[in-house]
Amino acid sequence: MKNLEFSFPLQELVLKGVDLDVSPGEKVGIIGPNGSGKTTLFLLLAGILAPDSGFLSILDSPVRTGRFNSSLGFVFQNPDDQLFCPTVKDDLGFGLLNLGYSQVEADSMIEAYLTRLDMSDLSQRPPHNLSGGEKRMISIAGVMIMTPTIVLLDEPESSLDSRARRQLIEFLRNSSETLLIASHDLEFLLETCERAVLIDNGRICADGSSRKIMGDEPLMNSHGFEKPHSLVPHVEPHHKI
Amino acid sequence: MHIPDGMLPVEICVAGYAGSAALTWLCIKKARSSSEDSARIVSRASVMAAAFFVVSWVHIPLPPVSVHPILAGLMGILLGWISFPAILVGLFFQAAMFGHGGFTTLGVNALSMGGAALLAWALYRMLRRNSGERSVLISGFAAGFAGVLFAVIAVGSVLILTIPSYINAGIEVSAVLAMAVAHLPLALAEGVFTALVARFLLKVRPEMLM
Amino acid sequence: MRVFENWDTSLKIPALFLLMMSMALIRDQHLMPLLPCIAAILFIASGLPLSLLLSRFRAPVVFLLFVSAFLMLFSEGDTLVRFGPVVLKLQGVILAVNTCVRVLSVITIGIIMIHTTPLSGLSAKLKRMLIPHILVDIGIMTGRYIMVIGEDYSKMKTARKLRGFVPGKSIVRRFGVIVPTAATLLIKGFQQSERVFNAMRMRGYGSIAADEGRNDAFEKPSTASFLMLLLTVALSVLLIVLEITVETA
Repeated sequence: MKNLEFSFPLQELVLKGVDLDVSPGEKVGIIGPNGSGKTTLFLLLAGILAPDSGFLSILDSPVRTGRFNSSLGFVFQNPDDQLFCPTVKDDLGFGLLNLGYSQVEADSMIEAYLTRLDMSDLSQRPPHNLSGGEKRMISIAGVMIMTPTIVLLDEPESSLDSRARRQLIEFLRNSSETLLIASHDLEFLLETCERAVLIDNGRICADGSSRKIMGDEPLMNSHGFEKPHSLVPHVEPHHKI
Repeated sequence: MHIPDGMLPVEICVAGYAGSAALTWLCIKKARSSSEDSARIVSRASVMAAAFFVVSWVHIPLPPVSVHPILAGLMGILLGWISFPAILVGLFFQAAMFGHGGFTTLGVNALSMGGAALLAWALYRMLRRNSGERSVLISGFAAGFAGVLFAVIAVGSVLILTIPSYINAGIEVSAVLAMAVAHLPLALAEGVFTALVARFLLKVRPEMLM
Repeated sequence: MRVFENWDTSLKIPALFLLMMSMALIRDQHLMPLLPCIAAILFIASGLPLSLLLSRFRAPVVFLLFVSAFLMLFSEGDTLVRFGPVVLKLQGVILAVNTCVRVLSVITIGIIMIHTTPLSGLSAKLKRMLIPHILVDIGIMTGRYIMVIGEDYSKMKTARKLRGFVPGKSIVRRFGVIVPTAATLLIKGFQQSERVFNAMRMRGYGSIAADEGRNDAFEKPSTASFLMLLLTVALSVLLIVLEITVETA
């Protein structure tokens, strides 16, 4: 994206000239306080909102507002917003059927995918009978099973217990897609993303290695963040990194 | 105010389905022509039908009792053309989950309630002069009140007039009128409820009022 | 017994619906005893609990009480019994009994139809029944979001109670609480519908691939499903023929 600007009707600019390039396969953490424009950025990339000015492209094609782009997946913050169907199996099949797969093809892909996630026993369960962590994983699976090239994840780790959070971290680490993850959980981003972009007040304030940016205490403090605990020097080292 | 399965002659049930199918087609066509695409029609109708389904569990006080609202008027003014398919689906779930209404009578019930919603919406649009609070209160009340009465008269008429001919025609008409009169307190309560909800929405999310 | 659950949905629903319609057609009192017999046999075969049936009968029974009273009191014909000024007519009583038997029998078949239908793959099967796709999608998603919004309402009621709200006698106070509750649920629903719309579009709903590119290969219903369809249709046709025969006789 180049020089991206956006404002909601009759309101001030939410994004004020944002420039960002992401390479294929990169995992980028987007950090910023509430109201900084993270979710708006994702909605623009997904073609849900149209920018006021500037240029947006995905895989060298301009983003077209309101058009479905099968190379882009978006995991929304609230899993209930994207678990539409009566059972987990039907929900995973929703996107596949929209891509033109037959029911038989979709069934076989779903079975393989759930087996890979070790979640085959959830296949016939209604979404409202799932735990928070299970809902989150299934909502991500429903997007990833469509094999998008790029995936936007809006606070995917929120409301997860530590076990589900660990499962999600491993899943994202092992995925080959290009990921953009918006989150307030800095430790989570440190574990999943090698690159971090700090947005505040509609502008990118820092862009670089996650450890370098999040380890810069004055920078973090000036934007309302604390340095992640794992980057704080310890007398007795006890972190993996 | 839903007619259960087995009450109505089959030909009335079939006519009900035919009428509902036609009206559903028309309403979706109208919704599409006001630039709503399929995904928005589906998401709006389904999530709002669910919201209304849950709101119908709220008890409106009607001393000495409290009653479940019918919500035809409120659905009309919030959903417009989409109110008809939303009500059709809502009635299906009421039959499936609670045994209110029926499956063979779904078409007739939908015509009664959905028709009431559309008529209530038309009345609301006629009466609402501006986006002022007073105008919204008056037109909201009228929609809620009329929504109940239209539904009761429709259901009552279908029921009474399809009963076999052991009953005097004059008594049949009196029975329909008696049903309407008996529902006046509910109509009043629902008129007040609709007016107050519409006023709340005017202050918080005015774009929701059609 | 899983007879009904294993019956392919795209055949079961039309078959049982036809049976319901044919039962609703029955008006002759001599055929009336057939209806509860058919309903009872099918209900036992379905394996559904009796408590489900009784809970679903609650609303229609109240309705039937009013209708029966009306029929018994206002029908014309021979007097059956007199209690002071209240006169019950024979034709009215027969009509009331027939109506109750027919209504409860047809409702029983409807309960079997719905409660033995598995949720998985329901959307595809309903679309194969030529129900318009948009209506099926609305229906499937409504069922899902009733659970979500129902949970929200439940949490709101709990939060209210924990903050000391008791629905007392004051109508003004009660309206003062139920109006914002209802409006909040509707606003949340409206906002969620927008997010759901975005999520649907992001997963290709309404795209050209979804509309045109689909290969419609699906699992064909079993022979047993077709047999059950035939049996049910035969029973429905028999009922219709019997009713017409008795009517014209």
